[in-house]
Amino acid sequence: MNSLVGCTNIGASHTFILHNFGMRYLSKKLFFVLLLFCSLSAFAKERYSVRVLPDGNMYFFMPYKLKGSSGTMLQYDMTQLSYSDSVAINMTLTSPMGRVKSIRLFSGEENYSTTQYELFFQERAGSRFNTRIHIDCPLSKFRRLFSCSVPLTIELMMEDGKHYAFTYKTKTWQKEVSFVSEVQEMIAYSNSRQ
Amino acid sequence: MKKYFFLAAILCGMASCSSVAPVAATSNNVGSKCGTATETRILGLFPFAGDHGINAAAKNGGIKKISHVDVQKYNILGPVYTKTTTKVYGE
Repeated sequence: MNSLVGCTNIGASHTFILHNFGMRYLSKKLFFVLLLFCSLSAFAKERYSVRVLPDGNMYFFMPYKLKGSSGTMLQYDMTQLSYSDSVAINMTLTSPMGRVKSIRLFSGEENYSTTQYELFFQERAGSRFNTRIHIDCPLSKFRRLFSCSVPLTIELMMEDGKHYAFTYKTKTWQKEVSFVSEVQEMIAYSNSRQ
Repeated sequence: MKKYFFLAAILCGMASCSSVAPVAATSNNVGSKCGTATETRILGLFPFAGDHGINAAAKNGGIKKISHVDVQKYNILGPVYTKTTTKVYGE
């Protein structure tokens, strides 16, 4: 701090005033606080990324893991194109061997269910199986689902009658809703400018 | 206590970062699909969850024609915690 102030033309009297008001201590503290913020911002995970395409933008929501009962797990990611009327949802179900019959997403009174899915792969992962599937969710449904205050549940019905349900925790769901609404606002803005 | 707080702040601030780097590009058109594959390591030695290869990422995204590949790295305290995500774009 001394050297910094010394470089200016203000002179020694200013250095004295700064010291008197505890600026030296304050600047040190400020420095550490800034460092902490920098580190926290690095810690904060990116939830989505944006790519520019010839026809618009692609918003990719990074994979998110949801844990179910008895060791089952669902990891899903979403791709939204600013010019498309549907959202691509890819999900990996980790569970005992089985074939998916239908997928249902519901949140509060909003509900989307489909039997139309594309199977990417099904492979062994330890004692369980990873089943990777793809569904398309209509944009209007997606927006309604991801604006509900009730946490989203993704339910997968299997052909053998079993079903696996995965629900967000309330706090994480609130964050997820804010991320999705942020993207929707960006899309609405960029579309209005075209 | 204050000392520890400041020390932790310095360590975290100086040693945690996230960066994205290009890996490859092809002559295919920029695709509208994205697939990711992630690997997490502790102390640079123990890979927790697996495979951050281009093939795994393309498989996860259902991509048959790759347009370009990016790699995102996230470190805490240098090699203490490393998360590498490969993002593959294509059709």
